[in-house]
Parts: sequence; structure tokens; C-alpha cells
Amino acid sequence: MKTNDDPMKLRLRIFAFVAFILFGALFARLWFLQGIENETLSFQAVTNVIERVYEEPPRGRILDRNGRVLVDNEIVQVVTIDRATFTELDDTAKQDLLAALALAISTSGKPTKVSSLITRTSDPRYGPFDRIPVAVDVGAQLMVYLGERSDQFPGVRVEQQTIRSYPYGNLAAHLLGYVGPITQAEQQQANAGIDLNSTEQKSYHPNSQIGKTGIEQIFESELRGVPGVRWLEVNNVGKIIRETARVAPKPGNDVWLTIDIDLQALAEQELVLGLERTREEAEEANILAPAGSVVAINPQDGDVLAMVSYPSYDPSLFATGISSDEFDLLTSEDNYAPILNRAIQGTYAPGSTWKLVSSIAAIEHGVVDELFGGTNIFVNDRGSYLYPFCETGTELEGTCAFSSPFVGSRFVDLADALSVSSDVYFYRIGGEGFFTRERGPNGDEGIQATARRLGFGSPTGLQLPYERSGAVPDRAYFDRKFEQGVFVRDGNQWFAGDTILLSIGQGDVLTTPTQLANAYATFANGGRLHQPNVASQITSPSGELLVDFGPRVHSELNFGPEVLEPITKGLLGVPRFGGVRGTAAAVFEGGTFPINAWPVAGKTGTAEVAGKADTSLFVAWGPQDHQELGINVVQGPEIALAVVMEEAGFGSVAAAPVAAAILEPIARNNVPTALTLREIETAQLARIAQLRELNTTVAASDSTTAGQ
Amino acid sequence: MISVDTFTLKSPPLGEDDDQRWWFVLDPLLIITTLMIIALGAVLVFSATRGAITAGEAVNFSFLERQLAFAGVGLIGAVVVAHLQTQTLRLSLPFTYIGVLLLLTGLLFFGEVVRGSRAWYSGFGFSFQPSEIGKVVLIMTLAAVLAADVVSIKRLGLALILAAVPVWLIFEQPDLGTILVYVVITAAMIAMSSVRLRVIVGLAIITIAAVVAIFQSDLLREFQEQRLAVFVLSDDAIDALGPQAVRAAYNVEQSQIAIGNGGFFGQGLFQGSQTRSNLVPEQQTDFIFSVAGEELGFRGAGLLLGLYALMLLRMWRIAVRATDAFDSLLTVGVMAMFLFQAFQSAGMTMGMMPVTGIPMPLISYGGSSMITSLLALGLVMGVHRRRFDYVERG
Repeated sequence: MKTNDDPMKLRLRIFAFVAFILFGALFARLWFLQGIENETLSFQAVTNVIERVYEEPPRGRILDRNGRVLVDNEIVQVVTIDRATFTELDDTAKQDLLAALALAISTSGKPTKVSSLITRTSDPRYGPFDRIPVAVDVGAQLMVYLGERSDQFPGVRVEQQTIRSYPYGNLAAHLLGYVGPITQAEQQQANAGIDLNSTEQKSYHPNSQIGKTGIEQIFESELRGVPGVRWLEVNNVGKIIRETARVAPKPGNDVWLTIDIDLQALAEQELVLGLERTREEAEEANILAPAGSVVAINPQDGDVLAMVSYPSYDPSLFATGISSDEFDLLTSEDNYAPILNRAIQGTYAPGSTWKLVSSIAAIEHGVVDELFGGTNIFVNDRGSYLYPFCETGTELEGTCAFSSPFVGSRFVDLADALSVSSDVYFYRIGGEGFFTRERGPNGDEGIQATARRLGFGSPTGLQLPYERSGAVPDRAYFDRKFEQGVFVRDGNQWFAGDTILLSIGQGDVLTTPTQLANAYATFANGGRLHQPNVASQITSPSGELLVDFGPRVHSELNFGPEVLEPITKGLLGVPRFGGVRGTAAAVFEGGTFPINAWPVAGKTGTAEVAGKADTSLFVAWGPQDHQELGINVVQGPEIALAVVMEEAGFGSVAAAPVAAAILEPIARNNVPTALTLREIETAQLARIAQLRELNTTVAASDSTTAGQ
Repeated sequence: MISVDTFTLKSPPLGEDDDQRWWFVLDPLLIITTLMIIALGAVLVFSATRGAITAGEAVNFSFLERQLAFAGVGLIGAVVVAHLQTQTLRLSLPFTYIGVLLLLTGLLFFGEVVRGSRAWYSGFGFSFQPSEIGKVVLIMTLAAVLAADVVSIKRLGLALILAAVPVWLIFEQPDLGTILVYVVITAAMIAMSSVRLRVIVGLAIITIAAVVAIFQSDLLREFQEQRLAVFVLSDDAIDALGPQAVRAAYNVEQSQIAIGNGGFFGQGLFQGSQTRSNLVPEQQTDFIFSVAGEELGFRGAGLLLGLYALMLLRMWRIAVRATDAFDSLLTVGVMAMFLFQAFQSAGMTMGMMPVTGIPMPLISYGGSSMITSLLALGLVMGVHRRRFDYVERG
């Protein structure tokens, strides 16, 4: 072993020398980085942070039944202030920043007050780390201006945001609903069960938008896309050093509605015109006609073809951020709460339109046969009614006598009672007919039972949030209200007068326009009650069909001919002079309506409202088979329509003309094409140009004349 | 009192007049530096993995616990290895060498793919990297083959073939970093053996030519090439190579920023902003030196390098005083392994060396690496112990 000892020791020394050199190099490099380069490197280290930035995904679009886009997205530039950065500034720096920012935004063409920026930056809706939008839809110039001066505007950024755009303006605003900035509570709820680190899930972030009402809310989970994520390396003056990774946002799914935008536009226009006309022609001071609603349903499949609520609002207000003052105006009762979707949230006494329900109940429960001997037996209507079994001497004695607008004496059978809207005929059905029967849904509460079968007293179940039930009063209902302290009477004190008033749609019965339209649609198709659809299908951004809702049949009511025939005959008589003069005859047959080619069955309604003018109603469907005219509609009625106008007087005067105006283009198959705002603008510009041309021609001919 | 018998079973009992205690056969400085490096490493691993970056987040102790458990297992292994006699080590060789080859071959079929390499067996909550333990077996094998008075060309050829087979199997994974360690160990041991100088020079020339040839050909996977390229190219040239190269350059840049950020005194334990924001990749394994640099500063990182230097110095002393060529070569092999891995791992984080996944011995998180390093140290401690056997016998 000693033999090779020496060369090995030499080599080991060389090895030690190599190790010494290597360690020397490590120490030298370590000292270079930590001793010499320390300042530059620590500056980079402290300042560079990776920020995870979420990109809002484009929401899905909302389309009408023919694929016309009702709600779309547009990309706008938004100026935001980072609250975390802003909070750290001292008071003078804050004031200076906001003053400079207000000036910059105003100069760019969006007049902005410093005070409004202060309100925004102190808005409690935004969290401490949120970026607060202070100006929406600013120009690209401002983006460049602010971007170049990021040190003068700490925490201020210009970001791209997609906002909702409404090609048809206010059309169907209530139905579509609106989106708005998500609240903390909403965010928590919406993110429940979502992995925020996942780039595949529809997570919500402080700057996210969420559907607040209408289709936007009920189909939130479909319309919402998957947010994109960008990992940015950012230094301490907010400058982005580089993007280290990015996942692109994925757009949400498209929702197709059952609405026909042409019909919707027609209905909105006619309702507004009708309300204006009613106000102008009003003979009584209390007829204000401030509000109303129209609902059109296809009786064959329950598709809602149009849904109008007036007063309306501009949904794009919400797209760019609504101020609380503006929001208060939309919810104020003095303003008739434009935010309210009266089609599903307005509850009205149905008045005589309810006689459809009373008629069905009276026939089905045998009341007509028992009381009058049949639907074709004529009964004397003297214009007023005294309940014969009235217990005199009680405190309710006065409610034994009932009057009606009719003065005189006439004989009506069931059909005629509907056509001329005889109250007395139905008073008798309610009083002597139902009230005298034994208690229960097969006895004295037969009208209520029939009403519930037709969908009254509960939401119709269409795909919209906050739908109201209305009310079908009975003893149990009285008990509930009595317990709640709303009523002074309990169910044991349900009197004859209550059933008598119920039989003509007065008293405590409340219905929504959608319930009325759906009940008439159900009768029109022979008794199939649908849960109406406002949405027909959902498609992916690439156009793939994801969900097809299809008709949703709630129940089959199986009306027999003994029900269908007399009632249909009576309702067909309403818009006609015929044997008896129907209540809407002057509007339809007396107007331009092609009633002989496209028969309409309908019913006027005039409902009394305490302290206000009557609610004016008209519910109808068409085209309906008409044996005497020899019209046989093979495919069945195509539309059922409810028109309800608040504080507008007689149904035959206010609501029926609106219904006629909507149905007439359908009957004539010339519903005008709805125009987008852009198309309207183009058309107006064209007209102005045309007028100008005309003027020059006229002026030219004038001057020629003058010259002569 | 514990007699030396309980420690070194085959040592003859010491005479009563002999004042030496059982720990006389230990090299205290080597043991102290080892334990200090392990302790420092555990703290750094904990810092890199504890989480709790935002308030309210729970502190993650699992990496720390596992690392300490690996160290415990490794220390027991080291004690056992230190007890073994040369004869036992030599006799075990055919079995350990073939065992390693089988494990490496099995990887190609049953190995789990991690970051493009089939280098791991995994199961029962543990991962095992055979190429790590293979380092110790390689050192033993080469020591046995090269421990001759005169190393003939035949013998050298045998040594090269025995080294080449595991290297080829690791190349199939592929794991370039580990191959480099194997090559360095082999080169150092050949150089420190009694192979003639001119043969060594010849081998060196052939090796350099081979490396150049490999770089010229497409033998290296594109990824590895890019990582090496990052080391030599300018920024624009790196951009041209594509995102993966940019990523590698970015990692090295962030690591250097972290170390520079530490300054002389460091940001304080658990306070490194680069470490906290996870800007440096693999910071509990390959890039762990950047954590030391940022959080402990020049004081701490320098201490760590100093401990390595002291440890290597002690090993060198043991190598020089080894009783035979086998023991001396064993120590040289372990030294080469520690020197290269420490230099490469620290150098990479400071931008001195290309990015290759090589763990820092006793520091980087990982059971295979920790246990392998401690077994290797056990070999060295055995060498040191056997010197006293010889003295006693002599």
C-alpha cells in the first residue's frame, strides 16, 4: 500500500485545490450577489409580485324565438381605482388624485364631478381590495393618457369590461331583467361549492356582474361564463412587468326565449298608445291610466309570445352602473314602480274576466242545471240582485243587495250572460247557487276549486323570479289573513256576499295578467294547462343545443262539450253585435278588425279598486272556430292575450281597443318588424335627409315662382 | 460505561492503561458539521414549505416532519454502514450492484413520470429514487475495482463499464443531473486512483470530445438543452428558444434576486419575500440555497458553505490517512459527490451553473437524497474507524 502512496497524496492535494477553488468561487459569487448587487436585487425582489387578475367572461346572449339578439355584450373601457392603494394615500394626496382624475375624465368627454368620485371611492359595496369603477365607457385616448402617467395616478387603471347592450332598447326590459355588480352576500352564495383556484368553474369575484332579475337572474348559471385568469408580475408602481400565464375566459351559454320580438314591440307600442288615449279621453278625473301589462301566450304549447309591463325603464342604466337616486326613482310607488314586472308581479281583481271561471264552475258543479235548468235557459236580469236568504238585522245586512251597471230588464242564458257581461246571472250562481250548498270544494267553494285548477292562486311556474301567486279567497284564506291581522273576519264569517262578489271577480280575488292569459289559453286549447315557457332552449357559444325546454303540461282539465260549447259561444259573442250586443262589439266588429275571418273569443273586465278608478281588463284568444261563420281553425287558436290597465275605467273602453290593436296585425298577418335602436336611428337620419331634400326642392320651386 | 465493543464489534478490547474512549474512533468535527447541516436544512425546508403566507392559513409541518424522519433513518443507516468491515463491503458488492441495476431497469417499466423523467418508484405515500442510492453503490464498486497497486487498462475498462451501465439506465429515464453526478464521481475516483497520468489525460480528452458531440447531436432532450442553453445565451437568444427556455431563465433570475435580496443579514427566517411569494421554483429541493440566501443572508448562506467546506476538509483528511486504497477511494468518491452536488446546487441558484435538478446534500427535501448522503457519510466514518483497527492491529 505504501507503493502508490505518494502519487495518490499528490493527486489528493490537487483534488483539495480544486475543491478550494470551487468553494472560493461560490463564496465570491455569494458576496457579489449579497454584498455588491444587494441594493438593485432587493429593489426588484420587494417590488415584483405576482398578481392574479380575473377577466370577466362574456355573458351568454339572450335571443328571441327567431334568433334575433335581444341582449348582447359590448366591450368598453372602464377607469378603476384600486381601493387598497387609494386607502394608503394621505388626505391631500387623495384629493389631488381625485381632482386630477375628474379633470382627466371630464376632458376626455365624460363630465365628471370630484364629488361623484368621492362618493364612488367611499361606496361600501366595494371591498378593501376591489378595484372600484369610477367611469365607464371612456375613450381610448384617456386609456393612453392614464397609462403613461401611472406614477401620477397611483392605483388608477383603465380596464376593458364587457357590459350588457340592448339592441332593442327598452323592449321587454322587465322580462330580460338586468345585471349589476355582485354584492358580498351574493358572491358568497354564488361561490358556494366552487373551487376558486379552478380555472374551469364559474367563479365570482368582486368585480363580477350577476343577474339581478328576470331572465338574467333565473338563467344566471347558464349565462355566466368561466372567468379568465391572468398571472401578472407587477412592480410597486402598478406597472406590469410581464404576464407569466393566462387562461382565457370562456363565454356563457345563450338563452333563447319564446318571445317574438316583433309581437313584443307591437304589444308595448299599443299598450303605451292605449294608456295615452285613455288619459286623453278620460271623462272622469280619477282615470290616470298610469300603468298596465300585456301578456300573450300560445295556447298550443304555453310559449309566452310577449310580456309587457308599463311603466318601463332603460336596462342599459344598470349596465354602466346605476346611481342610488336613479334606482330610487325606479322603485318609487309615486312613480308606479317601473322596476315592477306587472305581468307576473301585478295582482289585480279580474272583474268580469273571471266569469269564465264562474261559468266553468257553475256548469261542472251542476249549479246552472240545478238553478236555471240548463245553460240555454234564459234568466231575467233586472240589473240588480237581492240575496233571497239574507239574514236581516245583522251588521252585514247591507251586503245582501248587489247592483250592476245594467239598468232595465233582459233575459239572458249563459252564453248571452257572458257576451253582455250580466252580473245578475252570476250573482245568482254565486248566491243561490254555490253559497247555499254544503261546505267544501265540491260544494260552496266550487268556484275556488275551479279557479285553482285553472292555475289561479299559485305561480304559473314560468322561468322568471319573483312571480306572485295572486289570491283565491275562501274560508281558509280568511282564517290565514285573520290570523295575520290583515282581515277583521275569520273563515266562519264567510258570507253569501263573499261568494256573490267572487262570482263576478270582485272582492278579495287577485290575479296576475299572466295567470289570466294562461287560464284563457287553457280554455282555448280545450283544457290543457301549461306551465308557460319564456325560455325555449339553451345553446352553447358554438351553437350546440344544450337544453330544450319544450311544452310543459301541468295538467289536463278535460273540459267536456257541455262546458266548452256554451262558454265559447258566449265569449265569441263579446266582440260581435250578433244576437245580443257584445261588450267589445263596438271595438272589434264596429272597428276595422276582421272579426269574420279571424274570430276572437274574449271577455271584458272592469274591476273596482278601493280609492282608485277601475282596472280595465280584456282577455281573449283567437282565431277560434266559428260554426255559424263556417270557420274551422284546424291548428287551433294561436294566441291568448291578457291586457290589464290600471286606473283606466271600463274594460270595453280602455283594454279592449289595445287588445284589438295587437290582434289585428296578427289576424292580418302583417305584424311590423321590430327595429333595433340603430335601425331606428338610421331610419330617422334617412328621413331627415329626405325632408331636407324636399325642403330644397320646395325652396327652389318657391324661388322660381318668386322669379316669375 | 459503554465499552468500545458495543460500537465496533470486531475491534480488540483496549488495554486498561489505554485512556482512549469509545468515541475515539469518531471524527467529531465530521459528525458535528453533518448534524448542523441537517438542522439548517430542516429549517430551510420548513421555511420553504410551511405555507401560512396569508394570515389565518395553517402552518404546514408535514415536510419538516418527514425530512426529520428521513434524517433519522439516514443516521441509523450511517451508523450501521460505519460498522461494516471492508470485507463485508466488498462481499456485498455483487448483490448491491446488481440490485441497483435491477431497480434502475424496473424504473423503465414501473417508474412514475415526474417532470418528464421516469426516476421514481412511488407507493405507500413515499417516493424512492434508485439512482440516488446507486451513487453509494457506484462509489463502493469503483473503489473495489480501482484499489489496486497498478490499475491496468483492463481494470480501468472494467471500472468504466461498471460505471457506464447505470449511467445508461439513468439516461433512459432521462435524468441528466444524476448522470452528471455519476460522471463526476467516476472521474474523480479514476483520477485519485493509481491510473497512470497519461491515461487520465487521454480519458479527459475523450470525455470532452464526447460532451461536445452530444451537444452537437440531438441526443439530449430538447428541454435539457434549453436549460443548458439558458446558461450560455443572451436574453434575445433565449426568447427565440421559446417559453420553456424563458421559464428556466426566469427561474434563475428570480433565484438570484432572492439571494441578492438577502444581503448580509438576510430578510429573517420565514420573512423572505421571494420565498413567500413562491417566485423561485423547487425551492424546497433543487433551489433551496436561494431560501438560505434570502432569509439568512450572507451570514447564513456563508455558514452553510463553510460547513460544507469543513466537512469536505475532514473527509479529505480521512482520505489522506486511510489505511488502504479501497478506503481512500471510498472517501474520494463521497467527497466528489458532496463537492459536486453542493457546488452545482448552490452555483445554479446563483447563476453560475446551468439548471439541472441536483439536490443539495443533507439540505434539499427528499428521503432518497437524505438517506443516500448519510449512508455515504457512514462509509467515510467507517474509513475513519478502520484506521484505528489498523493502528490497534499494527
